[in-house]
Amino acid sequence: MEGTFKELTAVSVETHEQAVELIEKLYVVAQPGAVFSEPMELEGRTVITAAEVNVGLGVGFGFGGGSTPGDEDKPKKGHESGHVKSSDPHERVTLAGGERTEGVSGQAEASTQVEEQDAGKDVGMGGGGGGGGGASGRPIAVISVTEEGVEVEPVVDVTKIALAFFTALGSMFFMLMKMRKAADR
Amino acid sequence: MGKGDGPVRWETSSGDCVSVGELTVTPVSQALSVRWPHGGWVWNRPRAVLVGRDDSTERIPIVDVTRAAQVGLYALGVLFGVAGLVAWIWGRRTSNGRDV
Repeated sequence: MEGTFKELTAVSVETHEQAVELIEKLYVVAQPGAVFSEPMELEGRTVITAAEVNVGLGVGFGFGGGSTPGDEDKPKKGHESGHVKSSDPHERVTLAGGERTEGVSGQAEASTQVEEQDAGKDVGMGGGGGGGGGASGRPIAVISVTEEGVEVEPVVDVTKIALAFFTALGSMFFMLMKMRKAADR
Repeated sequence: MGKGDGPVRWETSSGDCVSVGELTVTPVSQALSVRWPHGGWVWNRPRAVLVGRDDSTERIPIVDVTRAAQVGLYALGVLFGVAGLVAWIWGRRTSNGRDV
C-alpha cells in the first residue's frame, strides 16, 4: 500500500496518457489489501489492523493555438519543419536562449522561427496542465485471531468524538438562546 | 459483487484468507468509487470478517464506532435545532392568534 501511495504521489505527469495511467492506479485503493494490513504475530495472536482509506485525484490539461490572419501558412511551415528535420522526434526545439539539442538543420529552422517572430508573423500557442489530489486514512478496528476465536476491537478516536460533542452542544446552546430571545419579544 | 459499471461503483470484495489453527478468517471490505474523465475518488472501508470453523461460517461486522458517534451527535444537534425551530414558529403563531 505504501509503495502504491508513493507511486501515486511522487510522479510527474507530462502527457495525457500518463495522467490516465495514474488515475487507473488510483483504483488499487479500492481493493481489500488497501484497508486490511498483513497479518502480524503478536504475543501468540495473529493481529490484522483495519483502516478506512479515502483517496481523490484530478488532473486537467489545456492547449491553445493561434495565427495572424492572412499569414497562416508561413508560421506553420517553420513550426513543422523544425520537428521534421530533427534527427530524433522526441528532441525539443528550443527557439532562443535555451539549450540547443538539435543538429545544424534544427538550428537553422529555429532561427527561421525567431526571425518570423521578430517580423510579427508568429504563431501564438500555449499549453498547460495541473492536477491535485488528497488521501487520508483512519484506523477503525483491530482484528485479533487466536485458536479460540476472533475478536474485533474498535479503535475509538476520542478527539473526533469530543469535537462532535462540543459542536453539537454549541449549536444546541446557540439555538436555545435564539429561541429565548424570540420568546421575549 | 460490484453494483453499477458506470462512473459510480459500489462493490464489496473479500481479501486473502488467514488461517489460524482450525479457523479461517476472511476480511471483507466495501468500496465506493466515483470516476470522472480526468480523475476519481475512492472510499474504501472494512466491513466485516468471515470466520470459518469446520463447516460453519460466522460473520462478524466491523463497526466504525467513531463515525457512528459523530453521526449520532450531529444528528442530535440537527434534531434539536429543527425541534427548536418548530417550537418557535408554533409559539409565534399562537401569540399572533392571541393578539388578534
